[in-house]
Formats: sequence, structure tokens, C-alpha cells
Amino acid sequence: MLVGAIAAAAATSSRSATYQVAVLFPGTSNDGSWGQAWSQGSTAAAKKYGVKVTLVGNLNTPDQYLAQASAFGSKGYNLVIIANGGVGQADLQAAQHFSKTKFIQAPFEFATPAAQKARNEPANLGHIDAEQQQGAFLAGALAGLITKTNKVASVNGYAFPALTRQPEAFSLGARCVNAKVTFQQKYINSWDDTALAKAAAQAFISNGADVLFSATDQAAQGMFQAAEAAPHPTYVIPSYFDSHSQAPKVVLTSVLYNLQGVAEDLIKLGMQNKIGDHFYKQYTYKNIGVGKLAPFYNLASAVSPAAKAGLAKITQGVLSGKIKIPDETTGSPTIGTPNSAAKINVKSLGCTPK
Amino acid sequence: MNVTVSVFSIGIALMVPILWAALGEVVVEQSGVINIGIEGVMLIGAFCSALGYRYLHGLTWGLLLGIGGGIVCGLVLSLLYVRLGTDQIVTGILFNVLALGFTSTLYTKYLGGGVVKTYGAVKIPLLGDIKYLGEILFQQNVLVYASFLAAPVVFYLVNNTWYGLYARAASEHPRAAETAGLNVWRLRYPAVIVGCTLSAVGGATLVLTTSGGFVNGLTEGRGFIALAVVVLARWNPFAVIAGCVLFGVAQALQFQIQNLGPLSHVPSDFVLMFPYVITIVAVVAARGSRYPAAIGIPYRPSSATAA
Repeated sequence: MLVGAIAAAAATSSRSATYQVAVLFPGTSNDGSWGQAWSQGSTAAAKKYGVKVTLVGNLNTPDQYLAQASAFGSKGYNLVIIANGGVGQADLQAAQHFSKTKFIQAPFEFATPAAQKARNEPANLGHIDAEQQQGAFLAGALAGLITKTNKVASVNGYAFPALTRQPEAFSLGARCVNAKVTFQQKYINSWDDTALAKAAAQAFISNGADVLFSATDQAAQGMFQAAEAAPHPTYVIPSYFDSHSQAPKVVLTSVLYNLQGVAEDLIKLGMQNKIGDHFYKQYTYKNIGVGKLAPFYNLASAVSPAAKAGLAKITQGVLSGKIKIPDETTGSPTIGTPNSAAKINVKSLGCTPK
Repeated sequence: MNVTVSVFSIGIALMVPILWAALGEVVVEQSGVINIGIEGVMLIGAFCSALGYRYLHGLTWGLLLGIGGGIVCGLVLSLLYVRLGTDQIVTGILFNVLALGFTSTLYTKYLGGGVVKTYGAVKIPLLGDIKYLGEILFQQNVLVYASFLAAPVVFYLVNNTWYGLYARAASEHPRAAETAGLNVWRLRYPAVIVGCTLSAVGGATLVLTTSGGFVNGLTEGRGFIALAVVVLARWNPFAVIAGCVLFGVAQALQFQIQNLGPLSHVPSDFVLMFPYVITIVAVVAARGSRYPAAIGIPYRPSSATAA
């Protein structure tokens, strides 16, 4: 693993720059998914602001993150971004050891002030949260509007709050516009296992699902294969990166969390010395376009004018606050645990399903 | 497609990469070598097939490069396991780590995000129309059919040819085999190369029939499952098929268990655990039966020892 991680490290640098940033993530810088989105934003920031940015991909386990974060801390890097919300204590331990480096974990949000206090985090550790549930909700609304079978499904990576909110919000979005829709989901416990993702997608398709949401990473490729071979027209809505070119016949749209913009903004804030003690920032659809849907491209005809109008209305509702999408950890109800959304009455969110 | 048919149909597709790898391991182990590096061989086979598809533009080229990758792995590993007599467990583990790093590095540079077209299903005339069974077995892709044909070929090779007989003799008592005039190294070289080639086809199957592309760590431990299946099957290629079906169907069952009336309350994670529990039970139960006596032990010919 470590060999792969080290080998996958790529660096871009500017001789005149003194500000040094490391970005750690699962996947690779050209995986057409999460890793590529973070890489693009970081590389753009490196060019724009003349900082030295080092990208390290292929990191999966907490110990890998801890080793890499510690290595950059010991080298005197100014900012280390850990782009993985599910790696436990790695961020905390690294920050405790290297107090002169700012560490940011993304996405991560404390459930309560008490939970934050319990972690006893050092001042140089910060968090950001991209409100992914907003985009997933819109994807769900689109699915609910176009499904012919009234069955939609989701294939997910691992169950932790920052991930779980995505399929849960997707199900809420579908139910928000379609009272008849049913939702199924499966956690495959992998970002990369395309075979399992394909098998899960095939199972959902054989049960009648015709719109599939992906809340995993490169494994989504298997879902594309399953959708292309489906006996009825089936569409996939992947996340994190515009995946249209990977499967133009079945990728209806992609949920873009503008991770490029998030990365760029974080590096800019770091350079401007605006990442203070216990830094926390929320990125939303409103402030940076987290959750925008990619164009439909050649599949625009699969979305009727009525469905497009319905989606526009829901989007407006989300932006104006008329439709309130639950958070994964804060407030009530929450959608940070599997199947938590099933208990929520969508009318209480401001929806009027038909 | 009803739920049961769906479970078995998906299970067959999931089992095939493991079946190829397990058949390869049967050949290797019946010569007295244990290839822990099977996971790395599968990974390299998968990578090479994606590379072949990407740059030579065709599924056949993908498959051929996957096979080529397996042959190269076989050459390297046979040199290490047989000629140099390295510890087979340590070498195998290190080979897996090397393969992961090697493919990850090259993936980023040469493949990243590339999509591979997959072999489509081929319906066998008449057989494919049989209710339920036809849908499960005879509407699969060409690499599924080939894997089922490979099992009897491996069985014949190991049990009914002079090579298989000699190789098994070398796996039981290599010194006696040498005394009888056999060259143990020359028996083990081809076994490792053929075994690695079959395992690499397993990796290629993942890319060319299932995933539609290579991703880092694509094999996700399937090589190790193949190792377990070989023990479970007691080195019998036909039993290997049964073992692989067990694993494949259990994996598929986790996606449909909520739709299978009486089983709907069984946690899907339990289903996934089931074949591993069976394997452990089988290994414990099989402790009376034994591995080939000289498996995993590097052999030094008497001429080399004397020197």
C-alpha cells in the first residue's frame, strides 16, 4: 500500500513559493472521481497562487493517512488537507505532533459541541464540510421525476455520516417529488470494487430499479456496465466528478460537489493566513455550488420538460430554504445513519410529493 | 428475472475470476509449490488486459496481454520459487505488495479513468432457453464458458497425463522422484507458469467482463479467496467449481437477501461471512487429509547440493 502511495505521489512546485500544501486522498489524480476533483482544484490553486502543492493519492487506511500527514508535518508544510471523512483519528494524532502545520479534514462535522470537546482537538486541526446532501437530494428528485418503474436505488461505499447522508438524501429527494417511489441501497464496503458494484446494480435492476445513484468512487464503473446491459432503460447518477464521458449512454448526470472549488478556496485561505485556530467552514450549494448537477448532454431527451421544470422548482426550494434537507449529525432529524431517512415524513421537509 | 435466478446468475459472474485463479493454483500446488503471490498475479493480469484494450483497441488484445502478463509473472515467480529456492510464503507476500505498487504507479501514468468495453452475454442455442437453468448458466459471456471448460482440462492434466503424474510425485517426495530420473525443477517451472497464466486470466476476466476498466487494487482479495477454495476443494478442479459457486452465490445473495421471503431477516453481512466459515470448518475437518507432502518446500537437486 505504502509503495503504491509513495509511487503515486505527484508534485507540482514553484521555486518562488514558500507556502507548502499537501493534499491526501483515496483514488488517483486521474480516476474520474473524488481524487481527480481534489487534484484539479489543488493544481489550479498551485498555479493561481504560486504555492507548492504535493498530491498523494491511493491512501485508504487511517495508518496511511497518519504516516503521510506526519511526513509532511515533519517537513514543515504549512497546510495538510486530508480529503477523506472516514479515517478516524489520523488527523488528530498528526495535528497533535506537528503544531506548526495546519491540518484540515474534509468532510467532517461534529454532531454536538460536546462531541467536539470530547475529541480535545489541538488548535491547528480544522474541518470543512461540503453539504453533499443538497446535491444528492437534487439527484434524488431528478430520479423520482424520471423513473418509469418507481424504483430507485443506491450503491454506496462505506457507512459513515459524511457518506451516509448522500444516499439518504437521494432517497428523500426521490420521495419529495414522487409518493410512489421505493428506494433500495447497498453498502459494498469498497471504493474500488467494480465487480461488487456491478453485482449490486444488477440485483437492483433485476428488481426493477431504473435510476441508480452512486455514492462510491471508481467502483461506479461496474454500475455503468450493469446499466448498459439492463433489460430496460436504466440511468446512473454518479458523484464527485462529471463522469459522462465514461458511459455516455447511461450516465444521466453527475452530482458535482465542486470539490475543485473547495480545494482552491482552502489553499487560498491558507495562503492569506485565514485558517485560524479550530477552523471550520461549511461549503454549500449557495456559497460555492456544492451539489450542482452536471449537464444531461446527449441524454437530455430522457428528461421531459415537466421533469426539468420540476427539478428547477425543487432546486429553487432548496436554495430559498423552503425545502429543508436534514443534516447528517446536527439538528433533528438527522440522516447520518443507514435507513434513517426512511423514518422521515418528507412533508415535514417542505415537500409536496405527487 | 426472478430473484433466485438473479442471485445465481450474478453469483456465476462473480465466481468466474476466482475460478480461473483457483484452477491455476491447483496446477501450481500439485507440483509442490504454493503461490501466495496469486493476488498479485491476478492484479497484473487485470492491468495488462486493460492496457491491451486501451492501446491495441480490442477485447482479444486485452485478453492476450492479460495472458502475457501471467506468463511473465510465472517466469519471474518460477525463477524465485524453484530456481532460487526462496521462501515461498515471504516471496508471495512481497510479490503481492510489489504488484499493487507497480500497477498503481503505471495506472496513474497510462490508464487513469480509462473505460474498457466488456464481453457481452452469449446465449447458447436451445440450452439458453431452458427455464431458470438456461438464464443462469447459458446466457453468460465467453470467459464464463471457457472457465467451465478449463476445469476438466486441468483435471485431465493433473490426473491423466504423464506430466501430471510426475508433477504430483515431485510434490509428494521430490528426492524419490529425482532418484527415479525426474528433473523436479523442470516439472515445477511449467506448473508455476501455467498456474500464473490461469490466475492472470482471472484478473483479465474482472476487467473484460465485469468492471469495464482497471482501478487500483481491483482484485480486492479474490486471489486469497481462490487459495481458500483450493483447500476447500482438496485440489479437485470439479470441487473447485462447487467452492467458487458457493463464494459467488454468497456474494450475490447479500444484494437480494431482503427479497428472499424467509431469509429476509438474515443480515446480509452474515451471508457474506458464510463461505469463509464453511472454509474454516472444511480446513479443520480436512486436517486428517493432507497437503502434498513437499508443498512449499524449496527443492535443491542432489547435484546442486553436492556442488
